[in-house]
Amino acid sequence: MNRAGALASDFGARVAPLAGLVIVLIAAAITSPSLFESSNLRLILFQIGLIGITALGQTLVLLVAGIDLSVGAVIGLTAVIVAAHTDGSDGALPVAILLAAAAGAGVGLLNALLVIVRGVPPFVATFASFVLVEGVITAVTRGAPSGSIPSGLHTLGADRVAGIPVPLLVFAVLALVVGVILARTSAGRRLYATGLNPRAAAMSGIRTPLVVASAYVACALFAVLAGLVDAGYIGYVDAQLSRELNLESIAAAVIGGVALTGGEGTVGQTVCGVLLLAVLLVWMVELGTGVGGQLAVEGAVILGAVWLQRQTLSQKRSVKG
Amino acid sequence: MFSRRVWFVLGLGLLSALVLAACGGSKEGTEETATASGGGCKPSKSVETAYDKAWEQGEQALELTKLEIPKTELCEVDTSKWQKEEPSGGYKIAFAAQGPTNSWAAENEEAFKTKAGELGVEELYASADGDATKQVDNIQQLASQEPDAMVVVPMGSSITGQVKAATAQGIPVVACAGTIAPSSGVVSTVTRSYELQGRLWAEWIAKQIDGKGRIAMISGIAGVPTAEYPKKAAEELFAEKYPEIEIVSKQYDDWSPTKAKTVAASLVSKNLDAIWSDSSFTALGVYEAYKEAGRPVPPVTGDASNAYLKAIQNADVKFALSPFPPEMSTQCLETAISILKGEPVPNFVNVEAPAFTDKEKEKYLRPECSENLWIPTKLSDEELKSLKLCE
Amino acid sequence: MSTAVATTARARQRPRLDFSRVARSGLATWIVVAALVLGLTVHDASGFWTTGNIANVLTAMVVLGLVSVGQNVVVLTGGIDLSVGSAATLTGLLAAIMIDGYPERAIPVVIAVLAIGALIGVGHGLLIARVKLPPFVVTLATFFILQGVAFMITSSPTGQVTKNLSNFALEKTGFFPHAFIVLIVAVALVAFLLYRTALGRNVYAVGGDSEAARSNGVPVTSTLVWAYVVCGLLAAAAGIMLAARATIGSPTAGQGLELSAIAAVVIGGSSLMGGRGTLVGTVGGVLLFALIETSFTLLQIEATLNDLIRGLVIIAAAAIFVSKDDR
Repeated sequence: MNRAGALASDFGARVAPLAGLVIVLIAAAITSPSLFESSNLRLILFQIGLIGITALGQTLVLLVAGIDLSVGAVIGLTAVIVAAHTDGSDGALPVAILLAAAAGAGVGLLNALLVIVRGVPPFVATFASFVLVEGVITAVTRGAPSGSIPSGLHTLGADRVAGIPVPLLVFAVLALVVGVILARTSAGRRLYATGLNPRAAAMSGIRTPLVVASAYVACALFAVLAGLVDAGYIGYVDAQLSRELNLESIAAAVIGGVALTGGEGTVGQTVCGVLLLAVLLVWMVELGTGVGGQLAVEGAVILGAVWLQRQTLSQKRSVKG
Repeated sequence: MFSRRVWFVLGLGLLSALVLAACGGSKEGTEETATASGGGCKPSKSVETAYDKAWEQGEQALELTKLEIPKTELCEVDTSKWQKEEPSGGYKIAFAAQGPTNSWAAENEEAFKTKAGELGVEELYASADGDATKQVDNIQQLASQEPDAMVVVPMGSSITGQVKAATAQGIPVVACAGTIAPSSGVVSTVTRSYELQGRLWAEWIAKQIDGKGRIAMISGIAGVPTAEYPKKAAEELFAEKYPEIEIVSKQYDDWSPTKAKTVAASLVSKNLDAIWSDSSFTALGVYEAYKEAGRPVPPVTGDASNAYLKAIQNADVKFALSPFPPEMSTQCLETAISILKGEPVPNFVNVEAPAFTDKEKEKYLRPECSENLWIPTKLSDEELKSLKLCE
Repeated sequence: MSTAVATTARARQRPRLDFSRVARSGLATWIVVAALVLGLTVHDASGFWTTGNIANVLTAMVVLGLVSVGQNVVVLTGGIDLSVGSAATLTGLLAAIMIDGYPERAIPVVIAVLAIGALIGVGHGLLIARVKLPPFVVTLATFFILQGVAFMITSSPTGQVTKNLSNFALEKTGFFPHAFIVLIVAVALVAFLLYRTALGRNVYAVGGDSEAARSNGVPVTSTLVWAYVVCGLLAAAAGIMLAARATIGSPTAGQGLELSAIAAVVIGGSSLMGGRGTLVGTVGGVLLFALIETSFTLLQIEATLNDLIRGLVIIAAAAIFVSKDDR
């Protein structure tokens, strides 16, 4: 194998989403320069934080050849639990967060059980738990969630440190941690091995069910965190947001180049995808195209980004071959 | 090669079909079954006065000078053909509801249920889960259980055909908190007028900025009538009456406060003079976004929720709210009963609710109640308690 | 030695009910359906077995059935189509706008709209088979794009279908809704395609192992394109049925269909990995959903419990009947 060539094209595959990002940034800068004014920039940074946190969890699940459609429901569940338990009092917040984390972990575990023990396709298993969790929320709240969000969460969702939104900082730290775990630890290696070929991984002594289960639980816990960030950002139980973050977290990871088939992708790629999507979303609002244009462009960018990766990837393959 | 052949065949088919389609012919009428505007609808002074009353209240509360009320066909429907003896167990009235997807719907449905209990009406309920496609099936399912009348909270225009089928089957239908195309044959529409909402907010905005300036419009969900019609009414008004008002941006926020805040945050840099919006979710998001950016909040409009009043109670914000009260479902039920009794009913009932501005915020704020409460509420304390809305 | 192993293996197999084999044949969902029907009969026979209620169940099957059958073909190739809801929305809207109440236009427009659906399918197929993009990503993108185009055309209801078309969608004879004919025809055609033609065999072959299929001379590209064309065509048919029943065009009519369709296909025993699954199972999945939805209204179940029940049923059906070798 031509090692140098492979390295170069490896680099190419990494650069593809970056190239997409640069293209979008340039196009955005030309069509609407005001995009880079401070208020818009802050919004982009916040969006990166919120979408990014969910996308990190989604990446872990994608790496073990799964997908998690229940992310949005867990976000909603978190807000409902925090509001109901604290009813606005900061003192009750720690317990509420623990409760939300426990509930989130429960949903993650349910997903993992369905996928591992019963072999249900992740797409359907997590869609089912999405419907189930939404159902639990409706059944318990009867459609009108009670209580309110304590102001203590405001720090997490809406504050800034040195001008940088806290959610972005949280995301940056988490991205670093997850990145290091994936790239440098044996846990990371086990995750990739499980995603690439579960049978081979199992034969080499990796307890693959444990690895897969950890990915789903971690993803759900990231969703809980995103739920806390969102609740803090608006200070209100927002029942409408949930479905959107499902698709956005997947789209971000996929735009970045994380493979849906498992075992392929890095945190760096997800970060690129998140940046691209966040800029895109704010840019579309800024452009003032109608809702139709926004959706169409969002779709086109997903297609374009993945096509770009495909090109560099096939070059890589041809070098290897 | 294969695919080129497919493209060719499909393209040819498409082309020839379109050419065929473009060939003339005459259009079918739509009004054939329209009960309301047909022969059985008499002009009526009292109906017109009742309709205008809601406009007058808004005009006064928002301190506007003479509103131009758009022409609406108003009349009194002769309901004798729907008249039905009340069975011993009471009327059976179907309620095609939104489903408890948010607090507005929860209150809407609770109010209906309570009223039905009071009036000795048997309620036949169906939840659309906020989804127009599901509601199409719901209406058929309800109709097949042969209710005496049906009240529909329309989720979208796609229910038109199924409503028409229900009226054709002999079930009088009342559109509630929304409108259904007249071709559906709906007997009466009970809602707060979308035109009233859209124009009231627009006129107030225009007054705040003296008829000129830069504004943005933020609406709820694209394609949903409750979002589209007030928007359309406001757009028409701005275009006709206020050429110097520039609509810089039109956005949707899915009635999600989070999305509203992100949309508003991206509008901060546009130096807006005011923001027209159709909900207090949006108004809440706008307030949060401007506060965070450290800028003065522009005048904003919306419907009336406790969440918004709680958020801004200590802030200096100019706003005008016009409620879209969930309890209007009780009026819908009463209208349905009137139809069954053969009493004449208006083809359009403009639901009255007090519009108000920031000057009256203390009067309407309910500090002891949940953020989810829609104000001002007509629900009893017990109902509010059972919905966990108030202490 | 070998006989001993064989005997123990057989002995171990005998007492175990082989769920996965039942699931594979698509019969599993029908068992659930039968149980549900039995339950509903015991609970309220006079309400359930009325012509009206049966008509309701059958009507609720039509649109979901059309998109699910199309989805099934794609899933058999190992693909997925997330855009069927958006495609149905767009085609239905176009049908209502182009017909606009002129009876002469009805037939040509229906043909044109079906062709548009097929074109969408060709686009999917080429991007997936030729450019080799993952089906999930391609159809996620078109999910956004097609809905976007619908909103660009209009965000409020417009257009109008003809009376004949809407009558066809709304009328019934006894318990039999006329619109159900469309579903029967679609299922029959797809069944013929899958089980009686080379294309059908190729679909299964490509889904089973596309590399092996290729080396065995199966035209993988054209098979994939055809699969997506069938799916697009049926999504357009669903769109037309939506418009016909609505009588007017709505830019949101088909939203959310994709997830229900995929769930119905999987519950029907098809593997999302491709190569395995039956139409019988998918139709069973659709019937199951239609039964659940109509029963909420029939039994007047507390609305706050609807989603909970939906979720439980999907989880239960998936957990019990999806076969284990499906990773």
